[in-house]
Amino acid sequence: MRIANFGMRNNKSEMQLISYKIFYNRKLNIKTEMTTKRKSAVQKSMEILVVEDSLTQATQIKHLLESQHYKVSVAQNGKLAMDRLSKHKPSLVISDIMMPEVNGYELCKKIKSNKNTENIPVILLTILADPEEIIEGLSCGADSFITKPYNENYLLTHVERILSRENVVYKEKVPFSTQILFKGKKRFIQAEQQNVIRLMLDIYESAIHQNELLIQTQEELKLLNERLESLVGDRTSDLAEEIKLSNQIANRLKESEERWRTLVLTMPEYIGLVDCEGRFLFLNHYAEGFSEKDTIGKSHLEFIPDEWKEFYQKKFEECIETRKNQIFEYSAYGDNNAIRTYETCLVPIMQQGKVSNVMAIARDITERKQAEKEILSLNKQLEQRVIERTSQLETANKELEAFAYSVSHDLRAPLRAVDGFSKFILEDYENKIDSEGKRLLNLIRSNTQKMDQLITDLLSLSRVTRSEMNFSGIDMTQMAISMFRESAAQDVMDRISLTVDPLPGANADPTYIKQVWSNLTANAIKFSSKKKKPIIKISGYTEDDFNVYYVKDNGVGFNPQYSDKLFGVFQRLHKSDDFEGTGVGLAIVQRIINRHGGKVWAEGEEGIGATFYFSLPVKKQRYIVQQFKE
Amino acid sequence: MNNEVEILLVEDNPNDAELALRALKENNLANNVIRVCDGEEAIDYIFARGPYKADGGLNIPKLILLDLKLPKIDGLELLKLIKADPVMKLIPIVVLTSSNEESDMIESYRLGVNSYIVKPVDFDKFIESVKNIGFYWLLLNKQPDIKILLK
Repeated sequence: MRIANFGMRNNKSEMQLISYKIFYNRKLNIKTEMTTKRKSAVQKSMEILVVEDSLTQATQIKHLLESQHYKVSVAQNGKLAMDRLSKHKPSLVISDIMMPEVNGYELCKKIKSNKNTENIPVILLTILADPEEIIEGLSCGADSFITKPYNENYLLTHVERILSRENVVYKEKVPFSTQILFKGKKRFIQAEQQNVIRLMLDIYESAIHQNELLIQTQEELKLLNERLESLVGDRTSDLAEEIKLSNQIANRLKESEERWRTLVLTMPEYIGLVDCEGRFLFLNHYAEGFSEKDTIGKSHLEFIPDEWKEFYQKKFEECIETRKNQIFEYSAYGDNNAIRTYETCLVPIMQQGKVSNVMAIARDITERKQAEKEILSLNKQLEQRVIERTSQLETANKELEAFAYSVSHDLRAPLRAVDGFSKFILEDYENKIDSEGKRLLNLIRSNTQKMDQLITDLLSLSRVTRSEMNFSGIDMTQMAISMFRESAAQDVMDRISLTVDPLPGANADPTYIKQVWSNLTANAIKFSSKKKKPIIKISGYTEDDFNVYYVKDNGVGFNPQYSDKLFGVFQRLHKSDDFEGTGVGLAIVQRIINRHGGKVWAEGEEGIGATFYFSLPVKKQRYIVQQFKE
Repeated sequence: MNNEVEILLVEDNPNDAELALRALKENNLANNVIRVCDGEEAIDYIFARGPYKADGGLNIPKLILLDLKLPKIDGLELLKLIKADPVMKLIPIVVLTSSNEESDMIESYRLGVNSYIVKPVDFDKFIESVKNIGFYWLLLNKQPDIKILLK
């Protein structure tokens, strides 16, 4: 009666209390049943009649049940089911409710009202959307409900349980009947008490099951939610990290951009970016009198004077065509529209394999060009001056040669005449001239000899400067000895004690070096000739890159104070009464040695002797002053 | 001694000419000496032209003493002209000059001079030189008879 009361009173709190108890028990049962259901499948040789008008659903259930070794027959509606039931009794009927002709409730009523079939349990498949369905279900005497859409496991467990319940013999069937009012409609429910309880339990179980599923779903949802939240959290922190990083990058980029910008904007060179049509997209700074307004978007040719336009355009097109840098010089308008010279580099900017823009870097080289021009003009002037000077020198040299030539010819002729005619007088008028006259005539003659010697020496001095040098290897020891012999008269030679050390060989002009030895040995002989025992030593050594040779005598020597005058032309340190000479010999020696790249010097002491040195480079040197050639 | 011209002295300077003639005389070589003043006259004489046309080319000297510095045609040019003639080139030519210049010497020998003597300023040495020249070229040296060749 309590159940009826519950149904009637709709007491929520009580219902909850009961439902909890059942829940706990049933839950345990369900759990154990779910794990053990396969064991009982062996005894399933039972037959189940499925009543279902939808062929798909019927086949689905059939297939499911057959998989558990139940025998399954299908009736497509209540009427066909009734026909089948009249012939054969199945262990269980599972019926849909909504069917044409005889619906589920009617079928159930018919089964339960027939003595032959009243013990066959009937499960109604319902969507349980409406309490009316339950009331209808109770009224028709259904044994159980399964809510649609059903869970396959749940259906199977339920079927199993109903069938096992069938095995329990209900000794006592307590009839139950009551009348209820629902939605203003009176319903008369007549059922066995067990049935009602069972049905209610099924409904609860279904509800609990639904609840469980809901809880489970809720838990799953919660889990999912948590996971989602943690994912969102992770992602958020990732994003924060990314944002931080991207901010850092942005800052760096900004810094770098600023650096580049400063660099680009402050550098003296113009850096411009133009598109392939030559229109300015960017320019780092503008010449005085120009602004962004009249530059950007304008063609670069607008800033180039007409005479350079074609050239520049050609280079520009070449840059795009060849994709290679073009470096060249050209003129364009600069500050205050003045034409300036630029050294420029056109750089193709590539984008996706194509030249998208061209960068032009231009440096103002006007001043440099100007300076270059000046240098060039100065160079030309200098060259011109060198040419002029050279030609002047050549002229002077020619004059010198002509002078030397005429000296050698014309100066000698009068001398010869003076000497010759003096001789004529001496011969032809021998008896008319006294001894003093003869002495004077002889003085005239000896002076012509001196004059002749002077001319000879001066000519040879000038020849040293004028003529070319022909270098060859020289045995200096040999040459020194032979020149010594040529310089000294036999009687003098006998008195002289001569020492010649082996000398280093030389690479020089033999003709001139001969003259050097000749002059030096002759000097040594001359200035030592007044000694009783003249001693002359010829020796040499190598020092650094020079071979040094010297001639030493024990003659009259000289005051070292005047040693720098020794090598000057016409410089004489002795009276001509004491020693004859023109004062040109040492000057010739110095010129010859200088032209060989060597040096001359002398050491001496009055009354003790003198040593004359000369050096020659060991290797043939290139710094020898060459005579200008005609 | 016959009348044949033995020496042709080509010398423009009268002083030098006088000195040379005296030197030749002192060596007994002056008997058959002809002196001309420049290259042009020398050419006329040798090739019997101008004032010497009548001579009919019979003035072939045994020796030519040649100064280099001459007016009109100078010594080297004259040397070149004579040595270019197939017959006259056989006449020995001695350059007697003041020039001690290497270039003159080279050029003279290149043109076929037979000897090159630098006149000494000392007259005694000059006499000595002239003596040696005369002795060598007129006595010691043998040469073909050019007159026969001309006939």
